[in-house]
Amino acid sequence: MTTSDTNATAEPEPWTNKTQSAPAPIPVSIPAPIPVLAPYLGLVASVLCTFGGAWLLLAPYALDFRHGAAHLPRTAVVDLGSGAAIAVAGIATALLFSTNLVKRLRADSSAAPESRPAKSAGAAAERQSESESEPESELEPEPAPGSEPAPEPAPSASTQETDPGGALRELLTPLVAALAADLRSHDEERRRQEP
Amino acid sequence: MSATVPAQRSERIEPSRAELPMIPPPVSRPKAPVAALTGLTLVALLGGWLVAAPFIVGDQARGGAWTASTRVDVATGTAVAGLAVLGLLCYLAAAISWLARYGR
Repeated sequence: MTTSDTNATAEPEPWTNKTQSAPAPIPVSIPAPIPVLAPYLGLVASVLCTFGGAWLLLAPYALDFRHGAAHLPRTAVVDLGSGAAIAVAGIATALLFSTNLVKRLRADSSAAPESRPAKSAGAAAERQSESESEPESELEPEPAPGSEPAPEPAPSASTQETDPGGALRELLTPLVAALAADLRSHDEERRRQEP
Repeated sequence: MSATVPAQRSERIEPSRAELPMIPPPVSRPKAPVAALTGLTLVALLGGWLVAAPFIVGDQARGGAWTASTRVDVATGTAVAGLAVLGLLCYLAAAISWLARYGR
């Protein structure tokens, strides 16, 4: 290790701050989940209200509001009417909430496989070939003659299978490319300093 | 000291913004179940009507002891109205929390 290397690592590098702009926001590839909690809560509340309406339909007979009279009293009629209305409204509301919940769950399940990279073997192979070719060709416009490229970890088939989301891979690809470019520049620096 | 300045620092090529992975478009906000929310509001109103029905219809004398049907009506109506209002508030809270976290 030379003295220039120690100085370069110990001291801050003001010339690098000129070219570096403000830190870019970290790209996030995690999709937002579809809200299913709200219709689920509405479904639970409507089902419980339906039970209350059903209880109102049973209460005049269970508690014997008639007391042996020939006709039902007016309170029992009001209970039956209100209970029927609440039960019908609760069932309709529960059906509407469940329909909305099913729609959201289906949309969520149909949107989830699209974010996965390995839908088929061809797509996985295509993505792998793109990841191998694109960053290197863009980050290394003029390779130095005689210099060996830095070893880079090539994604294997097992890695593709264990990373179904692909979000981490997409997130780390530019970081690995930048690290490789940095290592390459360090190698070139050492070669130039050597006599 | 001039040797400490690496000239190739300026030649280093950083990945541009175009090379960064594409951020997926935000999830489209699902439509609110307006009919279901209206039905839950109707259930809450029916619960309120059930609480007031014994006194409006006139079966329950003012100041007198509550009959069995009045007790059932008031208790059931309070429970139904409370459940419906609680369901509406929980729906509202869940929707607002989702919008605050993922909405744009």
